Amino acid sequence: MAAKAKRQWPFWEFTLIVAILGAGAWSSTLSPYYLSVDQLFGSTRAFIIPGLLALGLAVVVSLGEIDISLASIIAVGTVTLSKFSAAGVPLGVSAPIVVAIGALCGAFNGLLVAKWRLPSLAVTLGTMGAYRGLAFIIGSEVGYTDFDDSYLWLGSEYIFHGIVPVSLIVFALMAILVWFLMHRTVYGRRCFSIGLNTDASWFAGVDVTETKIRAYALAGALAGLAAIVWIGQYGSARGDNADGSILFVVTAVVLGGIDINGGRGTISGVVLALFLLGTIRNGMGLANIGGPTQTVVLGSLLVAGVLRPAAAAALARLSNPARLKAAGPQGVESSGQE
Amino acid sequence: MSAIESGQPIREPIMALKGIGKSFGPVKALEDVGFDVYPGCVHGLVGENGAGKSTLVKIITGLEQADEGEVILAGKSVAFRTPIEARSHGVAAVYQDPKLFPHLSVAENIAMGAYPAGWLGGLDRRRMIETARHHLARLGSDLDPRRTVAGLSVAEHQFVEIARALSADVRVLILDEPTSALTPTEAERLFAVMRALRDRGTAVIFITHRLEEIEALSDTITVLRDRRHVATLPRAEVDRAKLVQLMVGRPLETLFTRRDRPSFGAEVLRVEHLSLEGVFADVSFSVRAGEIVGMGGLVGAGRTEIAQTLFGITPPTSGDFYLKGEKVAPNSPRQMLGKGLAYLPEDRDRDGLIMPETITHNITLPILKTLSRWAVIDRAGERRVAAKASETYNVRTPSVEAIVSSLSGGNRQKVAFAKWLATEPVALILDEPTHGIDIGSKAQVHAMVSQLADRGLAVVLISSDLPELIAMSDRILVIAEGALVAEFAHDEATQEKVMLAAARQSGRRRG
Repeated sequence: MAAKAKRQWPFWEFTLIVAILGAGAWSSTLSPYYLSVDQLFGSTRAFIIPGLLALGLAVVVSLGEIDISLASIIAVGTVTLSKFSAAGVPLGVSAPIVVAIGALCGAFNGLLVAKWRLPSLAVTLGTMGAYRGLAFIIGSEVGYTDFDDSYLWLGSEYIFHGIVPVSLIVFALMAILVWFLMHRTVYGRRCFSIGLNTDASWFAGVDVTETKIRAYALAGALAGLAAIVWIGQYGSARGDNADGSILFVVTAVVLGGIDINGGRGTISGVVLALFLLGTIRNGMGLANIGGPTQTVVLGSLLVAGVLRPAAAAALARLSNPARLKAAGPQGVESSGQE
Repeated sequence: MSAIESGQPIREPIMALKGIGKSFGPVKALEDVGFDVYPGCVHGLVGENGAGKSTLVKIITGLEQADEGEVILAGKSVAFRTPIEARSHGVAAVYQDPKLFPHLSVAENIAMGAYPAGWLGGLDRRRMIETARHHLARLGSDLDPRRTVAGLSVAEHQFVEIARALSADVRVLILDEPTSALTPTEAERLFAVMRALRDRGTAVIFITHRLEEIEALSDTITVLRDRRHVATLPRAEVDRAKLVQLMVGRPLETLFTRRDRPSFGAEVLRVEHLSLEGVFADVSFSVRAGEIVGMGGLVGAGRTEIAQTLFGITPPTSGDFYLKGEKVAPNSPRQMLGKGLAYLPEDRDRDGLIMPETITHNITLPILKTLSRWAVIDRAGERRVAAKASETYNVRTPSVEAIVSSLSGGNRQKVAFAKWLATEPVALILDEPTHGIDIGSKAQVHAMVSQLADRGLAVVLISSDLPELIAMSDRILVIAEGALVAEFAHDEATQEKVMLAAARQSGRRRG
């Protein structure tokens, strides 16, 4: 009778896999080249940059917070890299610096949110503008394209007979790291605890402020890494880099099953949601569906992702009212939260 | 029937309560409560915390519906469904924390629900302000009706709330702890208003913890205890001692009496002149190993605040705190847990546990560091610890992977105990550990607390349950209005003494 915590999530991940296969099948009817190995691996490049952001954002959202400034941090990173490249600084030096700058930008968000208890949506909306402005100040309106070849490697090279993008390997490594962090370490457990009940976690000796600042710093560092990938993929750095990509990122996190109120979700769900969104976007591209329509689809998926827990609860009520009653306060709890 | 002392003629009661009963699920909130309220009379309503006073007020004003019995207003049976309906029949209540709309003006708040209509059905602003001014003047207040409520003092809030109650033609006015946030001068003004209303023929039901106020103002006094009606007596027939005895005179039957006098060890916890500005001041006490020190007092006296200050939640503004002889400056629960102090919060479901999480995750949250290697949680070890702890503290559950919110209140409390004790503290502060749990679990909690003390823990027990406090404690400290006002040894403590000390009104310190 006692409800178990772990029983809900594999179901959602399974649904995501089915959806990915469905979207893939649809895409394959649109182009004879869709199912080629090159195409499949190559298409993953489309979501690696938002994917890195989504991994960091998933940690922040698990705390019940949000960070919409991440795309602007990418721009700060790319223009900084352009300055380093122009000055002839080797990537081995500039890459760690850019990741650190990203972490610093993130930590500043975290400081405002955690230390001074400001609402994270407002804070990161503000820093979204501020970091974007900073990127324009560091760089300029004109894009920089004269990158040293070493700067391009990470985002543009393929390995294993030119099939697997290097950036995909980087993303996979980061995904495993963040998964391990969130699902196997003390830090991850504390994040979910804070997301479920900040006060009780604080009473239990969790340093809420520190945990939150670290989450924001991690998200910022991953945005710094994404900036390096960006340079390789696009070969260009400008103040408006990655502008507008945050919708995709938030959608991936929410659709991946991270509760927007914090406390629940899995990193594997987020990765699957990224694949799903990538496949859908790729398919829409093949079907010649215009950008505005794609944005509408993406936005709708975000809303659907937010609605999902409530809809699932309503469905459970409709299909089996007796069982819900037996679950008692648990049922009430989750519907109240969501 | 004899005429009331003041020589007023015999009248029909304006309101009669007959056999009122109310349950919330399996919990009885009121059983068979009945008494009459007469016009032109201040009717004092007293009882311990949880005696059922607030529930009764909610039933009378339509916030809750009675399961049994009836409310008779001026000879007719009524069952109000909303406070607005009650108000239209001349029954209004003022609560201890006024529920006003902070961003609206005083006049708008007073008129709330009955805005005067003007030309074309619009709002007649001038009439609304005039009416508000008139009602405030009746209370002897010259508050500007155009002011926004947000900037008012608590006393002014109270007056606005009363003026609002008076804006309808009120026949029965209920004041629930109206003076708890007032200064003595403000309280005096309120009393003058109450007397004026009474002289005009309004029935005033007056609820307060301050017995001297009851004695000074009431014409009739009703005592509730354990959700039942104990007595309704004219003021002349009761004195303070009798009142207290009526309020607390409950048998000790269900209580676990503490072990034989044990020998105490060394001093574990010492507090010297601890103050938190505006909340409590100059609190000093000490607890030795194996000793249970009870902390009694009224709700809002500052006990929880003292405990939370010691646990680092709200650092003190002055004073010293020693734990095992070492001076500590509490500034976070993490730090205090590290020093060996654990605190079981009063609001278990909000602060004590993470309700949607498993038993395991709840129990191990404070000790994750010790259950991990290089920050990686040893999940099998974690489950072992949780399983052992739930067995030790007798948590009834099919599995430690069960969600805490699916457990009963008593079992949740045992999980909370298991969680805090897993930190292996040297001192433990328990804040209302048996609040809201069933009798069986209550006895288990009592046994558990005794065992913990026997094992050498220094225990501070905050409880509003007087029989429990007296039975469990080796020593009892009484807190009133943020000050330590009395201390009793186990042998000399009686419910009456503790109650008297707790209910004293000093008017010395006010927020």
